[in-house]
Amino acid sequence: MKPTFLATLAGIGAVAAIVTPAQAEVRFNGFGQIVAGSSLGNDHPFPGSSYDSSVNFKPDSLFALQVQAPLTDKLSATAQIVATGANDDFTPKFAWAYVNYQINGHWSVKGGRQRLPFYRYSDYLQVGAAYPWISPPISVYGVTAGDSNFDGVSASGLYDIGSWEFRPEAIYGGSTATTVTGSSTLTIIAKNIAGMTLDSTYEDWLSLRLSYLYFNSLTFSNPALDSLTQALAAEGNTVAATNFATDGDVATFAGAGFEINRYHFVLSGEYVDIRTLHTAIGSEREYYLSLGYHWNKWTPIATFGHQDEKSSNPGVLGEIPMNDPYYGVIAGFIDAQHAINDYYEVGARYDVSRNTALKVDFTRYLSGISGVPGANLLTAGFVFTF
Amino acid sequence: MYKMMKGKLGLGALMLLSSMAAHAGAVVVSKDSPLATFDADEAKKVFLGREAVIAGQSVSVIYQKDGAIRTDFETKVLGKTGSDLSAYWSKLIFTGKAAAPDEVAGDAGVKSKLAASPGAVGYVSDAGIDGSVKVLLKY
Repeated sequence: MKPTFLATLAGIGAVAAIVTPAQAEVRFNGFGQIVAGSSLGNDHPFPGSSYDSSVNFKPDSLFALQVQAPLTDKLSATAQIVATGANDDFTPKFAWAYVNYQINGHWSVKGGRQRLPFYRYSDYLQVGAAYPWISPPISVYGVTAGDSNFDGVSASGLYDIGSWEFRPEAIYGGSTATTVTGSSTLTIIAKNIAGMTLDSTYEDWLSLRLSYLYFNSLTFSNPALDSLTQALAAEGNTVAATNFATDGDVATFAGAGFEINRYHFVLSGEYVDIRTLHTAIGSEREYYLSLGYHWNKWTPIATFGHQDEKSSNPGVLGEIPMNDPYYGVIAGFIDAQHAINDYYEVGARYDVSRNTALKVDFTRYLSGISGVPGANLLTAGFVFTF
Repeated sequence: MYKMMKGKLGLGALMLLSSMAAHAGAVVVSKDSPLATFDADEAKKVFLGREAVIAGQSVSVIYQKDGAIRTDFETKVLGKTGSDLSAYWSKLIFTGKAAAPDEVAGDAGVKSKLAASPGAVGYVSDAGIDGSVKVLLKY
């Protein structure tokens, strides 16, 4: 860990100590994991990940600290700082920093940086101790991996009706995220995001979830994409340039999920439908289905995931003449949006103690498009919370 | 059939009696606390972080550190123990849905925490019940 991480923690602690009233307590909790992975002897790197045939600790290892300071009886401030190997070599960053106000027994509101509530595990994506796989199934969770947080406001409700517990939530805000894959940097800017989610739990064994997010303005920026769009516009193909680029376009995300936890079996699944409009990037549908079994301290688990993606606007190709110098590149890009991916995963979790566990996971990736090679991924790790 | 039922009830009551005698405790608050008695469901909800406010009073939860009293409480009242309970709490703490409960050592630790805040709820073994606390639920 670099010196800056400790300095950041000390800074947070010092500020919290000053602002909290004497009788309330600042709470520190944290989580982390040390995970190593490899795509084994296979030359083809595992898609959607940074793993290749050598053993790599960086993609999934992380350490996080959460500070929660009660400010008044109903107001509290929470910050979560995460240092990941995947992002800037364990440089600590603010994953969350928000103020929470408890209005009454049913509703609370938050303002600040928070997690985008796409999926069942979005809120605790990096808390490995909370789920049995090394990471939540890539078929569904890999899609929005680069853009998980937003800056804005949210309202969370809690209602108990009979044996049901309902947690509705509404969010509004914007986000900017940068992901680096290999040598390519992608910046995602989203403005005016509005979303609603509903989590329902029946007794202790059935969970259901629905989520819907509307992105009023979504922009994808990357040096190669940007120069291509500019070149098209410079040629006079301004309509094609607009319809090709993801520049202030509308996108929607709809998801549904469930979990049944009974007789030591855990059956869970999620389905997601993402659409983008007036842009050549892909719209997609994906899902996973997972079955695990609790046996003393062991939880073996098997998962199948599927992704189906294609360009939202293949018609943009018809908007430029066939002899245009960029025709081939655009055709290639649209073609690359087409993907049919299957993931077969088996793994196991062993609970070492109340707060620590060991996990191992093997995933086989196969493409439904002929000519695209398959790939393997083996990961193993130790996770903890404190 | 009536005879069988009677026999089963008798056995059940006997088992309950013997389990109560062997390990037992109570959910308690400070004697000045405005909180009133709980039923088993209410206690479960509060100790699983699902009820932050009761009758206008903000509630905070106190667990005891790992040990016999804690395991007894978890098995009898929560129906969840160990890693399951830990994973459950992680999902609330690290998503900001609930504040992490305090963890103190022993009945004495619980009682001094209770005295310090009116909204605090904790559990103690039978031996720990005295005049400084009000019992909300016996288990």
